[in-house]
Amino acid sequence: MRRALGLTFFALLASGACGQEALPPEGQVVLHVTTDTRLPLGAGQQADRALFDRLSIEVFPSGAGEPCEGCTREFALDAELVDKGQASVGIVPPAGVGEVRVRVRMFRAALDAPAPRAASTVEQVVRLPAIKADAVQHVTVTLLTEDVGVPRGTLESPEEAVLGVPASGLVGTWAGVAPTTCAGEAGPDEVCIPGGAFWMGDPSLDFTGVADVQGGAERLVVLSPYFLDLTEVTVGAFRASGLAEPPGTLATGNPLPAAPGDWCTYREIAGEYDALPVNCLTWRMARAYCESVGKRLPTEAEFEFAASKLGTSSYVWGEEMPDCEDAIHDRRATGRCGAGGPEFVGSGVRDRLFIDGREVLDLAGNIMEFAQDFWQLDDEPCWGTPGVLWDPSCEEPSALDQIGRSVRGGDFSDPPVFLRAAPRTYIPGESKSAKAMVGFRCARSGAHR
Amino acid sequence: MRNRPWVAVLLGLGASCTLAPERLPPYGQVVVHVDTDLPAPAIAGRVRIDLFDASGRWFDSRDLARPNPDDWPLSFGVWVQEDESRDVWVRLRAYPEGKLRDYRGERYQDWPDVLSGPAEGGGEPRLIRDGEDITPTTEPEPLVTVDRLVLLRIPREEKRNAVIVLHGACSGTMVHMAKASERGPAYGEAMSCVDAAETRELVEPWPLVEQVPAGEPLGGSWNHQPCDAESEDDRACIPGGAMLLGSRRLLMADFAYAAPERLVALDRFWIDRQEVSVGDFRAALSEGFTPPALPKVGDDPLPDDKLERCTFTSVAADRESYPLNCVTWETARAYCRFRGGELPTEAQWEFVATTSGHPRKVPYPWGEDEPNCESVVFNREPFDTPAFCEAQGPGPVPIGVGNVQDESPRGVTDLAGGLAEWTLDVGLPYADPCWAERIVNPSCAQSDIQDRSVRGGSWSSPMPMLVGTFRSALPARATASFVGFRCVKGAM
Repeated sequence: MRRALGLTFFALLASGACGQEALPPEGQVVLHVTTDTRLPLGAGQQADRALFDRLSIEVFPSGAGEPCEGCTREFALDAELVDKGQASVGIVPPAGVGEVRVRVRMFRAALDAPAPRAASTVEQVVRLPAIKADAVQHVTVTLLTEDVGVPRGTLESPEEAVLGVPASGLVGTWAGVAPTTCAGEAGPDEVCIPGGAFWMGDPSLDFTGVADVQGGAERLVVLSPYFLDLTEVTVGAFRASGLAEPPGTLATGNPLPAAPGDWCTYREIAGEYDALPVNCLTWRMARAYCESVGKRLPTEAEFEFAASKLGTSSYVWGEEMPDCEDAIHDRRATGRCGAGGPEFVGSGVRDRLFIDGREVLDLAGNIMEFAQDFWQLDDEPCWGTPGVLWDPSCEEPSALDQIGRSVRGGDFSDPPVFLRAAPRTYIPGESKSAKAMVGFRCARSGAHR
Repeated sequence: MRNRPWVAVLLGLGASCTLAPERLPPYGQVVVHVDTDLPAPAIAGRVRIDLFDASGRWFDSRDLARPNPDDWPLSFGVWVQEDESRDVWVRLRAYPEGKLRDYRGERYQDWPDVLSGPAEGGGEPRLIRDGEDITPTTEPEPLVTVDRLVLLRIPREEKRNAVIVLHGACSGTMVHMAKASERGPAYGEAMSCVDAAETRELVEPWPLVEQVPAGEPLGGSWNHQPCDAESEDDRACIPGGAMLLGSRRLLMADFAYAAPERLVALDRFWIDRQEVSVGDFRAALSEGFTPPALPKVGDDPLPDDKLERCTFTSVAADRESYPLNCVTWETARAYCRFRGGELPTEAQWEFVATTSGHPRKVPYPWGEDEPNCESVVFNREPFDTPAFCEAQGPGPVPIGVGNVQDESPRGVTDLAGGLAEWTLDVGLPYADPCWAERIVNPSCAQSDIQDRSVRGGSWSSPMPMLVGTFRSALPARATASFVGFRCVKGAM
């Protein structure tokens, strides 16, 4: 099909310079950048699943701790640019200068906090070869996804620049972004969440000083495929498991609850409560239920991957703050959504992840959910270790905070911010009953053995 | 040996090189040159370009990062083949990095409805290419976006230029593409802001020129009013300029009032470097100031009950250098007016506390670093949670004690800690129509509402309340030991 209309980009840089023909013919170094990570496909194209999207290049004269004047530039990175070998800059130092160092940083800018942050930056500091008059030398900086958070070279001891131009075809070859699907078929009450790489945590959220809430730190996580239940475990399902026996094992709540914590949903007689998510139970009971059906609790990372629409959005539906009917939340004295407690599963109009022809319900609101992990703070070893985390599962309790198990997602009393995928909190202990705000769903591995 | 300066040694790289000039089609084309008077890249950090053909069909969408100040102006070519209709609609949107909302179809909203959250959308129009739906899933948030629609009539076999400026004055005034919400721009219906706030004009073919007039880039010129030599010792001059007001992140508990975020501008003003002290207030009394109500008196020593720790004494004693608290909004305002000034608007207060003097908006007056107990006066009392800075002893404390971190680049102190401060505005959410009245010097100070906004943290506040976008409100007649004030003066 002919394209009758077109859009052409050129001379986007104010200098008007494009490529090497604009460079003076004397001593210079052309620094090429290549990477194995997943980038936006082309200039200006939507970058939903890109892991990085921005490049910063700074040139430091010998001895200087700051870049020289006019020697700092940021560029939007895309796969087309790198594949065509056009991710390059000409560096033309004045004659006779000593050592020239270049700091190259690839980072994530396309979110509400565009500065480079150590945990989501791949950094290299290289020393350029001595400038030769009337010669063009090519050097290549290869930025590997595995180096995220762990800089190679420093201004004090830079790496030697690798001479030559980059090989093509490297973009997108990192193992963490290879597509993976589940081994076996999903049961009727679950769906396969394919594996993948995503950014866990949201650095544009600041929970500093907010008691018991974390999730403002980011790290690159790779997950194997897994099966996730479509709904939170209901009162009916839990009663049928026999785990609520003998009577009294589970609190049944007040008929007319006065406080959010009193909205316990369990009833010993079958009835209309059966379609409510079960709550007011312990982490051990939740784990026992999942084991009784041959599953386990999801890890925090598995929950967040699903709740962020596979790492592409802040809420399971996108970026917008929810209205009261979009997800069950903000039901409290000073909230926007009146009084009330948990609702039947699937009551939030937009609180659903559409995947593979199915809908995963109530990841954002209704009630929070137990994760398999021990609770640790963002900067403790489970989450604060630099580098890529592969299938993270926190097996050690916090050394700095209370011992407990993580819970994820928002609940019926939460303001909208807690319905986002990133916030994390916990319930102390394992055998202490959580209040009405916490329930659970089950998951199981879909990895090929 | 020649010696060239270290300037502009970084050349090349960028979308500029993805299509080399020799690959330009031979058809007639228009080169569109786009500049903006917004600060870049702090506010104009990205540009979204959407193209529609003469029938209103959407045929391309790009979203480009503009991370460097000299990434503006930008230019791109638009061409059509021979024997095609020669009109192309170009929608241009400049907006800050990351400020996106879901695309759920065309959702045109007029003032003040645009403040109260997005309208429903039917999912249309769609961007279809080669049978595939490639509609972007997000679009720029209208309230922080300058939105512009132009109609280009592409010449035959010639190259012409279109010069377009995205004016900050148009922020929040959305393009209205057509009466039917499911389609792209329509002749005789499409309307766009050009350069006047909250005003749209019918979109006619944009004049094309042979030569692009030479001129300085406009970045940051919207309402830019520099400070010259008129600074005063006890007041800092704050240059006029653009700012992002509010936060869409501060949605905690009852503190939902800082959303939505908006793009606004302020005129130059002068603000007290320090909070008004007990001594300042006593001096005004001796100069004939008669307040509506005297501050509550707290004679020595300051009591244990934190709500009763009023700094004003009945006669001058050893607390003259303490910030004045336990004062009503009326008295605070009367004092400022007696001094020839006024209480700051919330926007003025937030501009000083988060933006003025910084390359981009920051959480605290000094920048990004978290406050520490030795150098910001905060959380010295339990506040739901245990007192984080209990070791520093109780507050309030004299001005200038333990506050070295709490200073903005303009030399204004104790905005984050010390005392919270009365502002001129009423405590209505930013989504209230009252906030829609103007985008330059926004204010919502109607007199029939008695709650007034209080900004900044105090010696008792926990850390989240020290963030410069945080808002709370108190009844105007209330007096509180954690609330004081400072004054501003307008253009002189």
